[in-house]
Amino acid sequence: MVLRLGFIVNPVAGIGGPAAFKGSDERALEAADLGYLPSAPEKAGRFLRHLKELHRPMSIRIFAAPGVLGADETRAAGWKVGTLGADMGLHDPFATDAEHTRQAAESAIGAEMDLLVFVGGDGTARDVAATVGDAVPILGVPAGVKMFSECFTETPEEAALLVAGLARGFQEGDRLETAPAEVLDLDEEAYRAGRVEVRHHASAAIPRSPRIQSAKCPTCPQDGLEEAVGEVRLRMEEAPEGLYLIASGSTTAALKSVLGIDGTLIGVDAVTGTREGDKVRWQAVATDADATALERLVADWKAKDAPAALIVSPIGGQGFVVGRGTGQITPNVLRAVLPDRLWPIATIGKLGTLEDGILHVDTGDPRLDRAFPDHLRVVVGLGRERMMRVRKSSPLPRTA
Amino acid sequence: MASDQVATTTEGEGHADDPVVPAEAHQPTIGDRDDPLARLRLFEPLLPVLEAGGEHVPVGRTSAPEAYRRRHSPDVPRLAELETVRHYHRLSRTNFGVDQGMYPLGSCTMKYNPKFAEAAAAHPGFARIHPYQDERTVQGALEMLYELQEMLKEVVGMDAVTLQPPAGAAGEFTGIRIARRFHEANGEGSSRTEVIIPDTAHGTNPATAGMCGYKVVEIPSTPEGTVDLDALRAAVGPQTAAIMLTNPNTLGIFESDILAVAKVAHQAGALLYYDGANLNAILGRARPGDMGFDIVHINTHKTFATPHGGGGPGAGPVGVRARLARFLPAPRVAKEGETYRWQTDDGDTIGKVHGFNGNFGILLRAYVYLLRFGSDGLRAIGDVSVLNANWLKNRIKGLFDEPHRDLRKHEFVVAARTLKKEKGVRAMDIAKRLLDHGFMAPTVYFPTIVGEELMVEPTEAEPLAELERFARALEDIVKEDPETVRHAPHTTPVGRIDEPWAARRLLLNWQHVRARPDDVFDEA
Repeated sequence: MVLRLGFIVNPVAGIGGPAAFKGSDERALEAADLGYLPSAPEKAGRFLRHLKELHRPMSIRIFAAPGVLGADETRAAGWKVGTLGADMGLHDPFATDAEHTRQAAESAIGAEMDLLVFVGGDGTARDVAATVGDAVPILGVPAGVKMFSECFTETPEEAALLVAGLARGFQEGDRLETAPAEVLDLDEEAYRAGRVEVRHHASAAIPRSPRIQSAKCPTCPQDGLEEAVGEVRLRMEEAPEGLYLIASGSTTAALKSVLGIDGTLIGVDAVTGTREGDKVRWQAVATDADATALERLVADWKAKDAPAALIVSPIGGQGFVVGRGTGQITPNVLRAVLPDRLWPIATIGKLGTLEDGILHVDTGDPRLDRAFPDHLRVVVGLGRERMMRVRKSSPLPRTA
Repeated sequence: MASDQVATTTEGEGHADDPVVPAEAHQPTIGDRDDPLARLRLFEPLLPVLEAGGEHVPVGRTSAPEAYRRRHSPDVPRLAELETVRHYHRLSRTNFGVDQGMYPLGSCTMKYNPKFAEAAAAHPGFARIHPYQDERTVQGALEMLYELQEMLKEVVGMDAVTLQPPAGAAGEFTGIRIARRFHEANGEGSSRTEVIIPDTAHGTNPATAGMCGYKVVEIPSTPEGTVDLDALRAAVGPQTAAIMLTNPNTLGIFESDILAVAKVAHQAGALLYYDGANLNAILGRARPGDMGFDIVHINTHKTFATPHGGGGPGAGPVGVRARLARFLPAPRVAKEGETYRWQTDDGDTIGKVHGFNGNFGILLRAYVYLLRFGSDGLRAIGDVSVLNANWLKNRIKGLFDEPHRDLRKHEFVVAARTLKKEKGVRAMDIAKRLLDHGFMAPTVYFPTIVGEELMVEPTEAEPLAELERFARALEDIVKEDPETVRHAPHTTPVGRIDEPWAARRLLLNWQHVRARPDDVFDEA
């Protein structure tokens, strides 16, 4: 009758995103010094509150890791909390590390959880999956910097919907129907060699559900990349004085190389140009900019009454335009470019890797997610765009 | 993984050791042969003809002015007449056409070209007239063209028709230029910059829009295979010049929301363009004009059984609504009393799109075809093309994945995705293996929205027994050893060519064919 739900929060997850770090675990304090906050507690709260509204009484029991690792947020959302593992007296998020996540995950096996929900990103997923394997099905509430693995839902609310659905009709002694999933993270070796690739790090069992996002595909067909990049360049040349924020990925890297910009491999570069005769010389005004820098740049250009555009490439296989590995692109930056100056760019082949041909967004602001256009025009070639549907099924959280 | 490796393997060497291959396949081509002794046989008498510029005058006694005489022998291989005839005969046997066997090349509508149309086109009264002749001396020919204009108006439900465009793609180009001129006349020439095209469209549609200076916005299909109306509404605006559609579309599915599409287009001030590629399927049952289309091009080869142009002579007539008639290419044939004449006084015309007034011989064949079948016959043609496609689709049920809705029009798409996963056999392999069975391959990997597609269009001409034979061939191929299929074809002169190489290094003239391709291009 009762679904036993293990719950672990990586309390610093996501803090590296707006700081333009490639993850959070090792550099959480550094990001905090820059004034950024982790997104995990807020996302955990959204998941828990939404689940509280959705679930049928007595159908779910939450066993949370102690203190900042889950129990605090669970209690704050109005749940009664069972404990998962021993209380380690953890009240400072910055005193936690991967080992704590692994210990809590370990306890979930012994305590025979039906499902283990964690709040974090790919790094957290690696720790959880490496510990529990397929002994306990796992599900990720997206709160990290990168979420390339196929164990996350699109938003915290989606995770709540999924869990409430699983709990409905769940009988004690049942096992959830699961599917094998790949837990991916950046391939650090490839990254050091100057390439952005993901690598399989662990296998996990996830609930079988269409609400779970696809994995990033390792490589995408890139035929026609030059034409798509050329189109964006032509548009930029129409207004070289504008501000062009170019996000990361191999598609946008091709653009940076055409513009002659030494950008960052993973990160957002800000570019503007000056006309020299009939040519335009492009220069970076910021490389690997963090959220504060991007917001300031956008405000500067707005004050000059010059256009600002954001060039992103949807993640192959997943279709996320923003929200996976783009923590520095804040809702404020997005509001400044929407709807006409968000320029997604992809080859037709890459769009072909998307499940049902649908794009996704997770802006970090549920209201902006809802207000996002229903369709985006993706640049696919010279003078050629493709209308792509943006999925917006996430329910709006009720205000407390 | 294994299948990918197979796909990239190049087997351009033919199969010299394979006993199944017809011996003629491996003879050198005529360009590689030269026999100086041939002069002693039958070729010699022809030479003076060539040297005299066509006049049959013996060598040395030519009456051609000095300046026009050939200085050198023509650079053609020296071969006797018999060998030359054999050469062409051999070529015809290694070629493949509808006259030889089923040619189910989806979306291309490879109809049988009936011989009565050829006979009519060969009639000296038609074959030996010239476009510069005085109108009074070619009244019969003009009457034929005029009647053809009238018949085509009726078939597609338009108010005016031009016969000038020399091919389907040229018809598209003409149609979109008319749209452009229309917007210019309304003072919206520079504000309407986009043409909207669904992802099931033929590749010519975006090419046409691009050539006419428009940006292309592609609309995805719904899971049912029809235009996504929401996406269309999101894409349409004051910047939209036209929406180009094929109906039924290339998946063989009728766009049942077509009236809503037309409304979206017209409310935005855009024009709705009908690509006539699949008109055959709805002949006598539905008309683009009644669906709300403003401009229509007709592929006479896909609908009225004229020969496929393939870069040679073709015809792509364009029909428009009355408000667009003044933009049509000039001249058109007009009737005054009982007299026919070329009408050239269209001040707003987009101009000419072809030398003279279109490909007369091709238009004549379409006219004869229309006369022969009449309106009841045309309807039967459309119906049987749909029946054939659906019978065949049903007959091969279970062999492949079926990505879309059940009922089709004139063509259907199946996918070899499961076969690829389970046996490593891809759509390309099946297509190649069909050649060994004496069939032309269906269209493969198009439209690219399904994956491992085989797009089959049998047309109305194929008898039931032939459809059955085709279905059995597919059954055999699906069952047989995947190795055999992956290395097919085994009976053709060339197996699998290096297509990217071929596409990028086109050999476009005869001298290059004689040279070794590598030498030629290393110079460039």
